Amino acid sequence: MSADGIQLLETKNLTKRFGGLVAVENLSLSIRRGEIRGIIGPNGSGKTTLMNLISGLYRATAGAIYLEAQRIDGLTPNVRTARGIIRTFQVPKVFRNMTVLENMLVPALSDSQGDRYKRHPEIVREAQALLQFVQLAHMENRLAQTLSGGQNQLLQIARGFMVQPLKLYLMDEPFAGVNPQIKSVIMESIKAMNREKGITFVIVSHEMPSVRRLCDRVSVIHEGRCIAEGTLEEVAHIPAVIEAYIGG
Amino acid sequence: MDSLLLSQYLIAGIVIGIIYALMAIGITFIYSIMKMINWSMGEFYMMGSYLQYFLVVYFLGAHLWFVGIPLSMAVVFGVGMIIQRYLLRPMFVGEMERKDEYATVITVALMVFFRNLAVVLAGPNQFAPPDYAGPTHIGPLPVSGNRFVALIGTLVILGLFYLIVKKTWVGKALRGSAQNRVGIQTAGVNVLRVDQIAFGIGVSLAAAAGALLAPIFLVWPENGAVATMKGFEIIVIGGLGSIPGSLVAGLLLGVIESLGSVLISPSFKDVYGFILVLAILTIRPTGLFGERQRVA
Repeated sequence: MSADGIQLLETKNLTKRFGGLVAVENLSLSIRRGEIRGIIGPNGSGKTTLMNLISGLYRATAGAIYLEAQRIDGLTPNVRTARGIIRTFQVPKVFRNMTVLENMLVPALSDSQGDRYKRHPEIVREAQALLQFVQLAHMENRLAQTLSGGQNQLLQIARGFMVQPLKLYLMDEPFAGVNPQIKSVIMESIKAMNREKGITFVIVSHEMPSVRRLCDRVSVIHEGRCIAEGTLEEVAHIPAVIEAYIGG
Repeated sequence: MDSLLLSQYLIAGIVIGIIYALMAIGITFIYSIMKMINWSMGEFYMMGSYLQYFLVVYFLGAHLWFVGIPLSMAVVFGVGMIIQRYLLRPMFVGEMERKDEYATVITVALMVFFRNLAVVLAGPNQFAPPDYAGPTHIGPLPVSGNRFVALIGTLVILGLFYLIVKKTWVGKALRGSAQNRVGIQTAGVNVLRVDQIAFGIGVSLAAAAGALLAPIFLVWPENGAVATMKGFEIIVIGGLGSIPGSLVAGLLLGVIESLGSVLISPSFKDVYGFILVLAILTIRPTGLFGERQRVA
């Protein structure tokens, strides 16, 4: 699905300071509904902090975040999830002592899923279908701690798709440390969910080939600021981007 | 030594060990979810024992003692939820750096407050509720009726606790929160609500121990101190955050104290537990079932 031009997420002059360290500074981003946006930048540039700010794990020092034109930066992470924002982490946050299927059912525990008792069989079927989709169905009764890092990344991503309604999916380094086969399953999942369900993705990644294949546009973050925006080919020729990557 | 007498002490040790474990499970359950030690756990035990005493003596009558236990637990559950909401939740709102220190200050203050409140409201005297049951037998071994009732009551409560944690949606949220707080938060679960429920359940387990043991260890403002000390010993032995560890360690502590009392001397009963704690710390600092924490 291509972006329809309506803004889904906007950050305005977003700033996050940790004591004297400015991790994100006056960062303004605008993500259109249905877009797959890449967030790239050198290590320590503030990409993960940005994810933490949007998902609500960090409170912004200054600035504002809007989802569908409504301000969300004062909301707790679970309320933001209920509004349709889900995220993954570079080190998968799975529930190690739960089975793969139980992991998938965790989003149904949220307050916004009040009819979960009635819908239990339906929720389980939905979870199993998603596990099938990401090729983990044969492992549904295994404990998450027995899965490989890549499989846990897949599980974490599939679990995110259980959130209803899902509007914005933030992914932090989904391709880091996963084998090519799993990487390909992740890419196909993103493309299919974007195309079929219109989910908007913001993907932080160092994997340029994957970013090139997936993302409509990229934003380049350096020292907490957005220094360029455009297609990967466009930003690759901007001197400030080259300098950020190579060093000035 | 007479094998019958030895078996009797062994049974007594197992009984008291399982009841100690109830207290320890309450402490470790709260820790596993909120990552804080509740130093006022003994005062919730004390609260449970007072509630049980007053319910049985003034409202229910001696024959309905078993109704008093869930009622005491329910009241303490509610008190725990309120305390968590207004005194402990602030440490999770905003970005407080030393949550453990905040929790220590609050729960130590609660300990002092509740002990003094008990003195103000009920005086410094000891109260003894009527016996729950007369002497009975486990096989050929005679056992105090109160201890037997406490054992059965504890097993029932632990069974219910297991069912809630393993089989319900709330239990899944509690387990998820214990395993990965950030993960469950970003999956849409209101972790602050989970904390509140966990704190309520944890302190109601302490109240259950207080109510069940009221006829044995009596009811007075500082009766929770010993149970708390045992609870912490068990946690060190079993491993902080491990519920199976608390059960095994409770049994181990009860049996060692009991056998030490009969084989060596009852005067050093508390010392045997501390020797066990020191031995475990030397051999396995994380406790029998504790996991080494990964930093970064």
